[in-house]
Amino acid sequence: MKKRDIELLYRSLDDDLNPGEQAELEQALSLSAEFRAEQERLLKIREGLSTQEHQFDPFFDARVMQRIASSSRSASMVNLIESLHLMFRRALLVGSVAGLLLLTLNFVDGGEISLRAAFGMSAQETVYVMQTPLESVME
Amino acid sequence: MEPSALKRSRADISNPTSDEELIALAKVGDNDAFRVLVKRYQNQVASTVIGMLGDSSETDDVGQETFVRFHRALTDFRGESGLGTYLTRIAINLSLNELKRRRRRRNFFVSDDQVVVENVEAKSDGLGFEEKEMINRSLKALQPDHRAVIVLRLIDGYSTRETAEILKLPLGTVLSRLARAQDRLRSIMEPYYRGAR
Repeated sequence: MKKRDIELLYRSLDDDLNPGEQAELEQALSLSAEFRAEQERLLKIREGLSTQEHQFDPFFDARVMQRIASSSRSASMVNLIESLHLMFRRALLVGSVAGLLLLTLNFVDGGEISLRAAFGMSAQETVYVMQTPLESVME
Repeated sequence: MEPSALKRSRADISNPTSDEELIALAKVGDNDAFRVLVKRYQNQVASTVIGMLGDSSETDDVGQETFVRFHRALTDFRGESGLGTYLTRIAINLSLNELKRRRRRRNFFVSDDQVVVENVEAKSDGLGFEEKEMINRSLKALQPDHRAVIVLRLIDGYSTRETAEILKLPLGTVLSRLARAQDRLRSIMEPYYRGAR
């Protein structure tokens, strides 16, 4: 069997052959019993593939709908987390800007950047706050 | 019409509502309408997915995921291609991804070496169960890219041109892959047919 004949055979099944090629294929088939047997085998394989019937297990549609429902729920949760993240990011940004503004104002006003200036505390109060352990405040 | 093309057109016709109407309803949140679409196309998707992956545990999962992806993309679906073609495209891509995953895990459920065709009783008359089983086994020995063209063209019954569109490949590439895949199938099946003589 010639490679060219096999090529023509495949193409005759999936594409169009021009009249010359068609005649060439028919002649090759008429001359070789082996080639005709090969054609028959190929057609059987193709028939075997084309008559396949595949199905999913029963209640496939119910499983799909369940999966869609659960993926919608998880999508809602993701949206909520993203919204919270966005909200807190904004709050953090606004807080930082406000703090920076406050420190700048204190610096302009008092000429220093310190806790005392930032919170408007006296020097005595600042020392008290810095020296008092957190646990005693909690008690 | 080829048998496989007939099979494709044999969508569930028990519900007379058209795909377009059902899609429009599903877009506004009608789950019952979507469910009818699932029932209508599940066999077509099964044919693609099981053809690609064999009858394995992942097929149901890939089939479900095909419809979940379609559901997510409902608002973008404009129906430029038919729904069947659209779902087949998703199913074939998910199946190819699954085959890649299997390859990475190195646990292909069958490989070229494991395809045994000699020890099944051959029958020379008509296509028996064994012969179909052999063809199925041989199909699993093909490379994923070659398997995809065989599944679309010969199992799902798409034309060569439609197969090229679904796989986004030039027509010539599809034709050469089809030829090489059939050549491989023929050579794998040869011992079986030799035994049938």
